Amino acid sequence: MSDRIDSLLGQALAILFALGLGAIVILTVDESPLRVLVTLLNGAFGNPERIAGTLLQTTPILICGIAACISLRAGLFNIGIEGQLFMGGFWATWVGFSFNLPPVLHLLLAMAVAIIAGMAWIAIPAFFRARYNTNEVVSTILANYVAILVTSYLTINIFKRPGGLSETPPIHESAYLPELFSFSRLNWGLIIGLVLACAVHFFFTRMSRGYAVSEMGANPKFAEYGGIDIKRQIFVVLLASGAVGGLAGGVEALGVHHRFMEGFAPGFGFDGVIAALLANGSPIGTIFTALFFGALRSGSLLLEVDTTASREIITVIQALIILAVSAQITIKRRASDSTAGERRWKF
Amino acid sequence: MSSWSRRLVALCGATAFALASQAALAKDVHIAAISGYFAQGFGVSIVNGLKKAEKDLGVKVKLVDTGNRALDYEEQFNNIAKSGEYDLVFVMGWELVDALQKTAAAYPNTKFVFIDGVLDSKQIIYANFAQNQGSFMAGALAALMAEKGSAVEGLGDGKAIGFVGGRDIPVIRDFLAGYEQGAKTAAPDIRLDSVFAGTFDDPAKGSELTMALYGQGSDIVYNVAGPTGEGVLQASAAADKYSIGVDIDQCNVAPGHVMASMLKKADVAVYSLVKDVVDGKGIEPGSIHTYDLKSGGVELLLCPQVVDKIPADVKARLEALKTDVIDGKITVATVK
Amino acid sequence: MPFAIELKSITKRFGSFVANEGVNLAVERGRIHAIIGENGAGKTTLMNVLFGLLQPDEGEIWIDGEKKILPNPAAAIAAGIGMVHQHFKLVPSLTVAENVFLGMEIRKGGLIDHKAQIERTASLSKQFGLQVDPSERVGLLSVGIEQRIEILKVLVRGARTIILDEPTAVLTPQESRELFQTLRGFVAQGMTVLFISHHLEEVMEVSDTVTVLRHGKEVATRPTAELTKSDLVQMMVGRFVSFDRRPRPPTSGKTVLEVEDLWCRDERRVQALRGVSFKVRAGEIVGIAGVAGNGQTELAEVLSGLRPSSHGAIRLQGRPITGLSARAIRAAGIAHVPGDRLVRGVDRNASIALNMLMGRQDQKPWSRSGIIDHRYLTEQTTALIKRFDIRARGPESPVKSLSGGNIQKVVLAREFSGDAGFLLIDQPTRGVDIGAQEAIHGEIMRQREAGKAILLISVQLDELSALADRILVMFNGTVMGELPGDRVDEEEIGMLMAGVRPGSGASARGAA
Repeated sequence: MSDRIDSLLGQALAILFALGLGAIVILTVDESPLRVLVTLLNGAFGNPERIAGTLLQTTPILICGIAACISLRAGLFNIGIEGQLFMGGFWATWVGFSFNLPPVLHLLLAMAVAIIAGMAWIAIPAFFRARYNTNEVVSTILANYVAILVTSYLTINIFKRPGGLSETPPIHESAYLPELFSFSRLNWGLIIGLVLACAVHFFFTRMSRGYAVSEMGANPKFAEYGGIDIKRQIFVVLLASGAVGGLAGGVEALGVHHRFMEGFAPGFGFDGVIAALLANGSPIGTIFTALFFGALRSGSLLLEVDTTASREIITVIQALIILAVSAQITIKRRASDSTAGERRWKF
Repeated sequence: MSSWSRRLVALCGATAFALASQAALAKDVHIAAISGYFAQGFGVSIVNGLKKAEKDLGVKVKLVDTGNRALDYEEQFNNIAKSGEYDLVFVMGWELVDALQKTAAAYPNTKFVFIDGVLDSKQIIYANFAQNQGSFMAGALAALMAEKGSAVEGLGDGKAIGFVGGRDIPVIRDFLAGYEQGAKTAAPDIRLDSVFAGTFDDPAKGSELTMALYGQGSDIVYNVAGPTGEGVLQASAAADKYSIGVDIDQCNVAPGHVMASMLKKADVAVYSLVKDVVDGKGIEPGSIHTYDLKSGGVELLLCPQVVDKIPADVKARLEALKTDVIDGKITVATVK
Repeated sequence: MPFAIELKSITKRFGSFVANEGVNLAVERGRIHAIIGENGAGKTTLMNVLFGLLQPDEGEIWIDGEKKILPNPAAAIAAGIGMVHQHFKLVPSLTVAENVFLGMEIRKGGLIDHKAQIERTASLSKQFGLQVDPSERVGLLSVGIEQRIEILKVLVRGARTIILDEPTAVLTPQESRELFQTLRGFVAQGMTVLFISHHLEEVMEVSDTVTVLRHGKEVATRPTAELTKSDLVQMMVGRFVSFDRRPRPPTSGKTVLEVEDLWCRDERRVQALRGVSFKVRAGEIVGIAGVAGNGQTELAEVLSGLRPSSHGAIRLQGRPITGLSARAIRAAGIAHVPGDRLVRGVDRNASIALNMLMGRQDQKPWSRSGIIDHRYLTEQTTALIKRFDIRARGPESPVKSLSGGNIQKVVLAREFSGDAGFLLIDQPTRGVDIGAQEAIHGEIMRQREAGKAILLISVQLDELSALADRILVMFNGTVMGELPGDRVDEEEIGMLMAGVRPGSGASARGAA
C-alpha cells in the first residue's frame, strides 16, 4: 500500500514539474501564469454550471479510462478505445433513431448495442492477440482509423439526416440518457462511470477472476503456472475493455449529442488511456485523473475567451504532464525492478 | 523596459492588472468570432476583415477556435455570451448551429452573426452571400469562353463546361443553379456536365472527376467543393485546361489555369457589420444581410495570369450581364 | 613464451557473496581453452572481469606478459580481447556490415563508406570462414548467423583473444559443429579462444585445455586429452558429503505417477526428452540427477502441463493426464515447485497472501461465488507463515521484500498445503542459504511421511543423496540409469551423468 502512495507522490511531483514548465511556456506568450491558473480554476469550478461542465468533460475520459484500466491491469494495451467509442456511439444512435420503443427499454437496448459494437470492434485484434500473439497495440490503433472512417461513411452516405449537415437524424427521446440537472447537459453517464469504476475496482481486488487477470498482467508465467488459461483470458479481457469503450460512445451519443456526426468525439479514447496510465491502472485513481483532465479541458475553454493565451497552451501543458509522468515511471522502473522484462507495463 | 521585466510585472500584477486594463477599455467595441476554420480559406477571409476593422475602426477582436470536439461547443458559446463583453459575435461553421441556437435563445442580449447561411432562429443575425449571383457570372464566363472554343489558346471545341460539387446538398445546388443559368443566358448552346464528389475532403477524387469531365469535352470546370476542389484546380494544371475557383482568391493554386475565382467576400461582410456597430447603427436580430453583386459581397475575379487571354467581347458581355443582374433585369434562381 | 592471458588469484565479491575466490587462469596462445562449471560456478563473472566489465577486488590480469588494468571493455578491446556475449546486441534494422562496424564506421568525407564496410566484412568473413551476406538486414537472419556477426564485430576490432560465453546454448547441433570449425580456424591463425560451457561433450570435442570452476574456485586446469567425461563431472559437482542422509521408514505405497516413453521438444524444436519412463509411489522420493540442461526442466514442464509432449503417456493415480491443461493437471492432484521460482513461482510485487492464492482462487473456501474470502486468505497465510517459518512481517508483506530462502518457502507453503498426492519439486534449494536448506529438506521429508509421492529434480547430488529413495540419472533427454538413494556410488553416478553406461564405455549420445 505504501508503494502505491509512493508512486502517486512521485507522479504528483512530476505533474508539478510539468506545471512549472508550463508556467515558463505561458510567460513566453506574454501572459501571466497566475492569471492563467486563476482563469483555469474559474473555468473549471467557478460556479455550479461550470462544475457540471467539467464533469461533463470528465465523463467520457473516465469511461474510456476504465476501459484502458481493464486492459492495462491484464498487461495488455487496448489503444483502440477511440474506435470502439465511435462504433458504440454510432450504433447506439442508430438504435436511437431507427426504432420506436418504450422509454427505458429503448435506452437499455441502445446501450446494449453500444457495448456489443465496442466488443465487436475489438474482437478481431483480441482474437489475433490471443491466438497468434499479434501485437494488440498496433492492431487496435489501426482499427481506430477504420472505425472513424466507417462511421463517417455511414453517417454521410447512408444515414444522413436531410439538410446540409454531416450528421444522422436525432434519436427519439425514449432513448435519451437523462440529464442530472436542468442547467447542464451533464447526465447519468457520470453515474455510470463512477459505478463502473467501483465495480472494476471490486472485480480486481475482491473477485477470483479479477485476481487471475491481474496476476496475468503482473507475471504471465506465474499465472500460466497457476493454471490460468492465458489465451482465453486475453481474449475475454480485451472484449471487456472494448465493451466499456463502446459504452463510452453510447453515453456520449445518448446523453449529450442525441445524434451521431462526423468527428463525433475525437481524442477521448486517447485521453482515457493517458488518464488510466497516470492512475497506475487503478479505476478509482482514474476517477481523479479523468477529473483532472476534464477540469483542464473545461477550464481551457474559458481561458481562450478570457486571456490572450490560446487553448493550445493547455495542450502543451497536458503533453508536458504526460512526458514528465512517463519519464518518472520509466526511471522508477529502471531503479527498482531488475526483472523489468517480466511485465510489459508496470503499475 | 525589457520584455522579461514586463513579464515579471505581468506575473506579479496578475489579476489586478488584468481587471484594471479591462475597466479602462470598457468603452471600446468588442468583437468576437468563433469557428473551427480560421486557418482555412473562408475563415482566413473573416480574419482579414476583422483585422482591417481592428486597424481602421479601433475595435478589440477575440478569435475563439472551436477545435473539433462537439462536446466543447456549447460551453464555448456560453463563455462568450456570459461574459457580456462582446458587441457582436461572428459564427462560422454548420456544426456549430445547434450550440449557437441554444445559446442565442438563452442570451438574447448577445448579438450573434451567422456567416454564410440562414437559420430559423429570430435571435440571430445572418450574413448571407448571393452565391447564385456570383456563380451566374462564373457560368457566363465559362460558357462564353467555351463558345469561342479553339479560337482561344488552350481551349478545345467540346462546347461543354463542367461543375464539381462537394456533396449534393442544397447550398451547393444554389451555386449550381446560378452557374447553369449564367451559362444558358450567355451561350444557350453550351452543354453543362455536373458531378458531385460526395465529399469535401478528397482532393484526389476531385482530380479524378475533373479529368473525366475534361475527357467528355469540357474545357472549363467550376469547383464548389472545399478541399476536394483543390484537386479540381490541380487537375486543370495537369491537363493543361482551365478551372474556376470559389469562395476566396484561388488564382494561385494553379497559376495560369485558374481562369477566375468566384469570391464570397466575407471580409467585406464582416467589416461592414462591424462598422455599423461602431457607427451606432442598430442591427436587428433576425435580420438577413445579403452580400451580392450589387454590394460587392460577391464578385467574379478574373485571374491576372489569364485575363489577357480573355477576348474583349467576352469581358464586355460579362460587364453587361453583371449590370443586368444588379439592375434587376435578370433574376438569378436560387435553391434553399 | 608468455601466456596470452594470465589471471592471478582473482577474487570478486558481490556483497557477502563470493563469485570468484583466488582464481588462477593461464591460457597459452593459439589454444582453445574451455572453462567449465555448473551454473553459478563463477565462469561468467571471471570472463566479465577479464573483459573489463567487472573490476576484481583482488588479483592481477596479465596479457601477453604485461600487467594490465582494464577499467572498461574499451581497454580490454584495446588490449586485444573480444567477447561474444550470450545475448546478442545487434540492431535488426541495420545490415550485417553496418552492425559489424557500428560505433567505428569507416568514413569518407564525413559520410559512412558503405562500400568499404561491405568489402571489409566480406573479406573478414572469407578469411575466417564465417559465412554471411554483408548487405543483408540482420532482422531476417537466424540465431546462428547473428552469432557470426557478433564474432565478426569482435574480429574487426582487432581481437587476438576471443571469449565466447556459452556460445552453443542458442545453437542447433549443426550450427554448433560449424562454430567449432570456425574456432579451430582461429587458433590455426594464431589466435586464442576462451570458451565457456557446461556441456561436457562440447568441451571434450573442441578444447585443448580445460579449467574447471566450482563454487567460484578453480578446481583444476588440465589438457583435455588427459581427462574423461566422468572426471569432468566429478570435478564440476564435487564430492557429496555435506548432508547426512535423512532417516526414513521403508516405502510401500502404491504407484501414484507413471510416466511411459515420454518425448518432447524445447523452444528451439530440438528433442529435449527422448523416451523417459519411470514410476513414483506414495511415500517415496524419486530423485532426478544430471548436469543442468539434459532435459530435467522440460520433464518438469511436461508433467505440470506447461509444455506439450510429442509422444508418450503420463498417468496419475491410474488416470491418464497426458495433454491436459496446467489447470486440469493441478485439479487432478499435482503440486509443482518450479525451478525458476522468481519467474514462475511467485509474483514478486504482490503480497505473500496473494501469492498463496494462486491456483486455488476459484476453490472453496478460498472464494465463494467468485468472491475471494480475504479473511480466510489472511488467516491461512498467517498460519502457513508460521508453519513454514517464513521470515516476514506479515501476510501483506510483498514477496520481493523477502530473502531467496523465504521466497522459496512461500512457494513450498503454497504447494504443500494443498491436497495434491504428487509433488513435483524442481531445484528446491537453489540459491538458498544453509539454514533455509535444512528447513526445506525437513519439510520435504514430512511430506514423504504424509504419504505423498515426490519427484525431486536437483543438480545437487548431495541433496539427492540426503533425500531420495531412488535416483534416476538423466542425460541428453533419457534416463541413463537408476541408483538406490542410500548407496550412491560417486564413480558410477559421474559416469551416468556424463552419458557413459558403467561397463559399456560407450557414449550414449554417440548412439542416440
